[in-house]
Amino acid sequence: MNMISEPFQRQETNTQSSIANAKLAIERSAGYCLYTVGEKRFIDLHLDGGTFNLGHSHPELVEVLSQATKRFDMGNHHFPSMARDALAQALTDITPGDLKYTVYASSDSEALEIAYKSARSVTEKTTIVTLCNPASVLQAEPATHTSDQLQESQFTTLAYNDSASLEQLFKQANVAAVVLDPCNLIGSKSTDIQKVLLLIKQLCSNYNVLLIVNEMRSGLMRSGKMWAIDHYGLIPDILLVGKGISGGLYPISCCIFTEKSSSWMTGCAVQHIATTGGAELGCIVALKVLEICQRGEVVSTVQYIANFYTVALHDLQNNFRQLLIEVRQQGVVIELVYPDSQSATLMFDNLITLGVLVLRSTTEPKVLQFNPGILMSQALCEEVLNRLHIASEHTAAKRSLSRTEAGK
Amino acid sequence: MNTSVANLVDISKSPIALCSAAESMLERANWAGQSYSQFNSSQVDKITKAVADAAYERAEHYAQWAVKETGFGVTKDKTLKNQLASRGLLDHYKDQNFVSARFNDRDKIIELPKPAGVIFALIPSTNPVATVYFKVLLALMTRNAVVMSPHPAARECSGDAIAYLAKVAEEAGAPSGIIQVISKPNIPLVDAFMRSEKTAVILATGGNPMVRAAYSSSNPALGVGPGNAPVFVDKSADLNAAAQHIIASKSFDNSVLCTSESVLITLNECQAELSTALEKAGAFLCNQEETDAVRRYLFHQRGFNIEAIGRDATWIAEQAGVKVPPSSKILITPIQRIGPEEKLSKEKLCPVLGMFIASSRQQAISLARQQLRMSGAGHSAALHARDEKVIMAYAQAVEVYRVILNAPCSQGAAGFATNLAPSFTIGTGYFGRSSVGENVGPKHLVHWTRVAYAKESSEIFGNFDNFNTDYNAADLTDEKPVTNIHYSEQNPPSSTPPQTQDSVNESDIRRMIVEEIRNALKR
Repeated sequence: MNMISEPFQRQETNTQSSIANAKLAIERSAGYCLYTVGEKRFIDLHLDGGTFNLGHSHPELVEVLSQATKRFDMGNHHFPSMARDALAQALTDITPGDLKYTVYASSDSEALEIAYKSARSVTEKTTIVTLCNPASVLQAEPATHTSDQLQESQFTTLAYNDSASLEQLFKQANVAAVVLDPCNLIGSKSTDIQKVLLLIKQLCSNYNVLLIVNEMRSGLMRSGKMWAIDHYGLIPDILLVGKGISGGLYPISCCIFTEKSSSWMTGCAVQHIATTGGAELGCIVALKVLEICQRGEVVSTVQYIANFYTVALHDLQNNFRQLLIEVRQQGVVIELVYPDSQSATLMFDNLITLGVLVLRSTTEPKVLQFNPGILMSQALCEEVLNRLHIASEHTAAKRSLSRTEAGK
Repeated sequence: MNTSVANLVDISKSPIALCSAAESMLERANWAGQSYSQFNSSQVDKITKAVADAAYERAEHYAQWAVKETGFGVTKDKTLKNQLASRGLLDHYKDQNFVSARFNDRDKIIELPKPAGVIFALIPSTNPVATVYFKVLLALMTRNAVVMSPHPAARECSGDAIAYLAKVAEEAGAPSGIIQVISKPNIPLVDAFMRSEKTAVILATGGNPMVRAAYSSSNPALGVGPGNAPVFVDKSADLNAAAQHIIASKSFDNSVLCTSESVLITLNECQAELSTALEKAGAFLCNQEETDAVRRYLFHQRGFNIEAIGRDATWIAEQAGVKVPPSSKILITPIQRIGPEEKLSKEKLCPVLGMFIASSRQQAISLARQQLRMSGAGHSAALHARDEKVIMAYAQAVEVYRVILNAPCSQGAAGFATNLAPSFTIGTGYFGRSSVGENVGPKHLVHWTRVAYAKESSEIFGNFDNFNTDYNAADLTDEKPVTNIHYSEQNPPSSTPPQTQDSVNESDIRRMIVEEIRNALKR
């Protein structure tokens, strides 16, 4: 694994201390709110990256899980299962192209490992290239998600729009796959993204490299469509689904393969599955998650929430031009960009003080990830906005003591 | 293989799933309503006109469909009702504004209209499409969102009409989801909608159990009670005109309107002349034996025979074994008493009218009161008279909130043959255990925030001349308020920005998207 960069380390420390100071020992959660032991209420825009996309303990998910225990358990992974089959079929129905085979994992990192191993097996090559936002490429960690020291050299990162370097790498290195998280692209113009992604897809195809898209954060309507790739007409060789598919209730992640990328499975259907991967109870919860995400009312509500924040954050930015220097957004995947990591840290702290939890970017210390859930009410969205406004005022005032340009 | 989760673990009928389904629709409606509540008067006018016109165009189409699906009523009459509930309704309210602020400089009070939010509307089987039209337009006029629950017997025509009007409204600029329909209504699901905290008000038109359930839901409800209108024909009336009005009313849409006359009360001294006039106008007067046959057919041990609802007079006569001329428009059944033991004095949603001969005006009025005590309290009564003393005495005595004078009661009480507010939701007030005693209209779906200045003359009323009817609150301040965001569901978010030149940077695109979202409200 690469050395963790200094700013990243600082940020981690700051994040930890902020959370520790706020005494964030969570006692219970409901909807989009968390409650600490002292009954302090926090509005959850952290969402653990989208795991709680439908809110905490969504009543329908709790009910379906509860009822499912009367018929299912984890299931014996050596045998075919109705629940696993149903989820695989449901995923096939809502993914583009010939993405049609699902391998289950019980964690997101395990799903990534499955994707990497598959790519290596199919291409008989080793290197995995992680594409990221040009702004964060220097601090981005290669997506190893492995403790295997021997494999660390086989991971590298590149800016997603640097197709010349990518092609160079394809020519020089033994590249098995390119990994892309659509959330890392939202700072760019979407017409450019589409152009670049289709070019990457073409390059991958030319050089026998698999394209892996990681929709763990962007999927399940968070981008405004079921998958972020739906915005660009991109069909990857492997699609990764995690976090929100669990409903925040039963751990499950999915790797969805095409005929080509799954060719290694032929002949031994159980070699890819772990004891706890694709537990039947998790499959039932995941099926319900997919059903809820596809409801017409939900699709419409996501659009309302996204548009609400598009307008609201634009106005906020107008009020705090020097503080909130950029708003990146696709659907309800939103990033707030501050001038420096200190401002972002102060905002983060002020939001915690005001009872709003957001997420620090792991690759860009000056960025706060702002994750409204797709079922949020108008009233809660408005409440968040009010608090964001106050936190911005406090942050701008404090920063202006040392940096006048950060003020309102 | 069917991959539906319901095939493996079906929770769709559980109370939790029903509540969740209701909450999803209501949340979308809430977003839509919040957006729509910021529309100004001309935007609202444009949308309501487009919807009223579209509804009017399909008045006959949906009338035919409703008769075919439910078996109730008459296409021609339902067409008329649909027309009255669309353009007719809009025309009635054309000079009223439920959107703009009012400024009263004399009392130094400003009034700002505040929509209820999300209306949950029950649609009956007897007047399905007219009620859909009526409630949709009421919601749109007042900047409310509405979720509609059609009666299962009229689900298809109602559902289609609702979807059609929703499409027209959205094409005219209304927020997406402002009008929604429950595609498969059932009692537990309807109950979940009625009990949800996201429901601002229930507009309940339908059977008594459903109306009572609405009142028991813990949410505000505007409900109606059953009708059972007595009509008293006094000796001072123009008897020929009275007969014609009664026939026109009782036969209208085969009497499915709850405002139609149920029992005719008249006096000894004019009954012969009135009977002749009634027969001349198209009534068939049953003898004792025929009356018994009609009674037996209409009322079973369990109550009213629902097969007879909205059927025409000759069909009912045939079912009862009574021979009548094919031109018969209504059946009149003489009765000797009014009360629970005489079933023909109860509400009958079919063209059968009880007839009681009273010995005096006092007795007639007393029996009208008696009839309303059985059912129909607070609803409607009719009177045909010229004598002002009788008019006042009758109106004073009967426990209803509308007395239709020298006019057909069906159309008159519903506001289509009188100057009452046109309505398919007739408030039965305190007599009828309802919160509203008037014909329900747009004013019941808006409350007003009143800004009141101090009485002291030193406190001067401001100059609000700039705030005309197209004034929009969000445009008020130079500094953008953070709690009054203009947004809509229309226009995609930044994921699909408009086509732009390469020279346009991301912040320009974002600004353009924001403007587009805002402009969606100004179409």
